This record gives sequence, C-alpha cells and structure tokens, in this order.
Amino acid sequence: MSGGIARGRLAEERKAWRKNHPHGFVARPETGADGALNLMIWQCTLPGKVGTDWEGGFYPVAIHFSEDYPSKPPKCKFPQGFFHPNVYPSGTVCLSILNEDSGWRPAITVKQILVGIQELLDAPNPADPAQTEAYQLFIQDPVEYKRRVRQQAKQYPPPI
Amino acid sequence: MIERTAVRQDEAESRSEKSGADCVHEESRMKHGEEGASSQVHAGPNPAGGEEASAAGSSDQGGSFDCNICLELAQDPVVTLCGHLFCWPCLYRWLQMHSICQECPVCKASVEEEKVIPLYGRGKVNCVDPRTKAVPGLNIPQRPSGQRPETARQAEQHYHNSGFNFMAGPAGPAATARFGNITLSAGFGLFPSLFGFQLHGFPDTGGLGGGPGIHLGTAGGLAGSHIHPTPPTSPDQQQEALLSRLLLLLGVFVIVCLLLF
Repeated sequence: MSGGIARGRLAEERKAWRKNHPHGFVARPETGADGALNLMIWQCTLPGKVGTDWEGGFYPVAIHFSEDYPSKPPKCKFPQGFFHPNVYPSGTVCLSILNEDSGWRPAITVKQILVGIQELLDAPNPADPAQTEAYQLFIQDPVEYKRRVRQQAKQYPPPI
Repeated sequence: MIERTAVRQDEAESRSEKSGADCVHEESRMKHGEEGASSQVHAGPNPAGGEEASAAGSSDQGGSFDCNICLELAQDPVVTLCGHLFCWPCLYRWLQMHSICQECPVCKASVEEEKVIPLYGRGKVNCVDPRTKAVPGLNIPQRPSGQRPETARQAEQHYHNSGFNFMAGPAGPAATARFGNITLSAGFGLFPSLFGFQLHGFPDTGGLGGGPGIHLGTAGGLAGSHIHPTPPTSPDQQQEALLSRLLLLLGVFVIVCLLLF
C-alpha cells in the first residue's frame, strides 16, 4: 500500500512535463467525459527515432498508473496488435525498467519511460520476446521485418 | 532568481493548500496543482520577460531539494549513503515494500534504514508532514537520528597516535610498525605491572635498550618498547644496542677471566 502519493507524484510529473519535455513527444492525462482530468491514465505519443525505420511514425502509448505508483511501475500499452518483438499481442510493452522485479525504480519519470520506449522501438531485445510474429520475422527475415516496420510507421502519421 | 523564488512560493502555496485541506479530495488538490502550473507558465513572460528562460532554467535543476519519489520539496528529508534525497515517509514506504532487497530508489545501491542520514535544516522542526496524516493505515516511524562522529578533541588524539606510528613505521619493517600499533592500543591495560617490574629490575634501562631483552626474553622486550617513546628498532638504536651488548659481553668476559685467572 502506497498511501496516496500516486496522485501527488503524477501532479508533479505533469508540472515537470509542461515545463519541459523532449521534442515531438506528447503526454497528457486522460480527459473524462465530464471534462475532468484522470491523472491515473496518460495518453502519450512518441515519435519514431530519426534515421531508423520507425521514423515518421507517431506511436500512441497509454500509460496506466496504479495507486501503488511510484512504488510500482505503470503499465504502458500500444494499440492492440502493435508490431514489435517486445510488445505483447495486447499491446503491453515488455521493458526491463517497467518490470517491478527487475529495472523499475520510483525515481524513473514519465519522460524517462517514454524515451526508454522510443529507444526500444529500434533496439528490440530478442532475449525477451513478447509476440511471435514480430519476433520470428526479426530473427528469420530481417528484410520483411523492416518492411513491416516501415508500413506500420505510415499507419501512425504525425498528429495535425 | 526572481523566477526561482516565484516557483518556490508557488510550491509553498500549493503545499499549504494541501496541508490545509486534508479532507478535500485529491482531484481538487490536483486542480490546484494544474492551475499553479499553468499560472506559472502564463506569468512567466510578464515579470522577467523570458518564458523560455524560466522553462529551461527551472525544468530539471529546479528540484535540487525535491524528493526523488514524490518529486516535491522533501519533507523530513533524509539522504542515503549514496547521496540521494528523499522524504522520510516516501523512502520508508519504498523500503517496506521492498524489504527483501532494500535498494536506493534512484541508483539501486543497497540502503539500510538505520544508515539513512536525516537532514536537519533551520526550518520548522515540529511541522507535521501532511502525508503522514493522510495515511492512517501505515505508521511511519520517526526518522533515524543522526550519527555523531567523535568530537574534534578525540580526533586530535587519534591523530597523535597515528603520528607516533608513522614515526615508527619507516624505521623498522612493516610488522614492527603494526606491532607498535597493537601494543599502543592494547598494551596500556597490562602495562603497569610489567612496567613496574621492569623498572625495579633495571633502574637505568635508558642506556641498555636491548638489555632486558637478553635477560627476560620477549616479555621484557615488549615492555621495553613501551618505556621508550620510540621503539628501539631504528637502525641507529639497533646499532647502539648491539654495541652495548657486545661491550657488556666483553666486560663480563674480562671479569670472568680476571676471576678465573
């Protein structure tokens, strides 16, 4: 039990993000039907790194925080069926810094998470596959893998 | 600088807002935070005329004294041995959750609750942390108290001891120096009896550095090294001792010869 730091911390995260965030990234708490902000779910966009096959895509990620945040890591989700070796079919990102038992530390900020996921896009970890399709192609057919990645980048055009 | 104080004031305001309204729900608290942030951004250009500067200046460096867990100005601040600052309640909760392998929330260095260093500033000492009030379920104990190293006087004494060893060090082999160190710390306890005995046996040990060694074995030698401020192990003294021993032997031989013949 974390005792209600979560919202206070997320408010600080929000402040910090508004003051400064990496170029091309978007992160904002979800707005409910009544117009109130829900700090526990953030809708984010991260750009594919320039110079990689992911360039040109602006990938949506939802970050779900629990009441135990920041003692426990948030869950980050791409849209269902996202093509990447380390993304589960459900869209959940498999990344060490987001794993409570390995890399997570309460000092990791939303900014670090998003940059970490951006890094992961072009540097998948074959030791920890989360879906068969992208993993198999990545291992066995790099050319087809590249094609799929580029195709996916076109599916997520820059926000207007 | 103006910007910075403005930000701090803002923080203080939102903080007092929070502590003042425990019962008010988090959402409204959040709104205050949001408003605070937006008013900061809007107010930026007016007083100092540089929104960019304020954004860049206070973005990452602004929180030098912020807790690494809640990202707010640290309450009941504590610092780990690896140098990372936290609110004590925040760190305590984290350590409780990860009681099996307790590690720093920033750098993963191992953290022991009792080795955490509290920071005592000049501010209000008895102000109650709003977070502790907000959490009735978890009792957060007092911060561990500071550890006091020995005062300057004791430290000075220490210095003298080491100085003494240093003098003995280069003269003899390392083993002797260490030997000297041990006798210094442990020897004083059993010193008086040996010392007294030695003094009675050899009233003028001064000239006969190695004298007791010959007659009483190692125990005597040990005590002898106590009597002299510097152990008789420096090359000069060793030579002297050897010479005096030779002279003594010669004298004894002469006397024996005289007696016999």
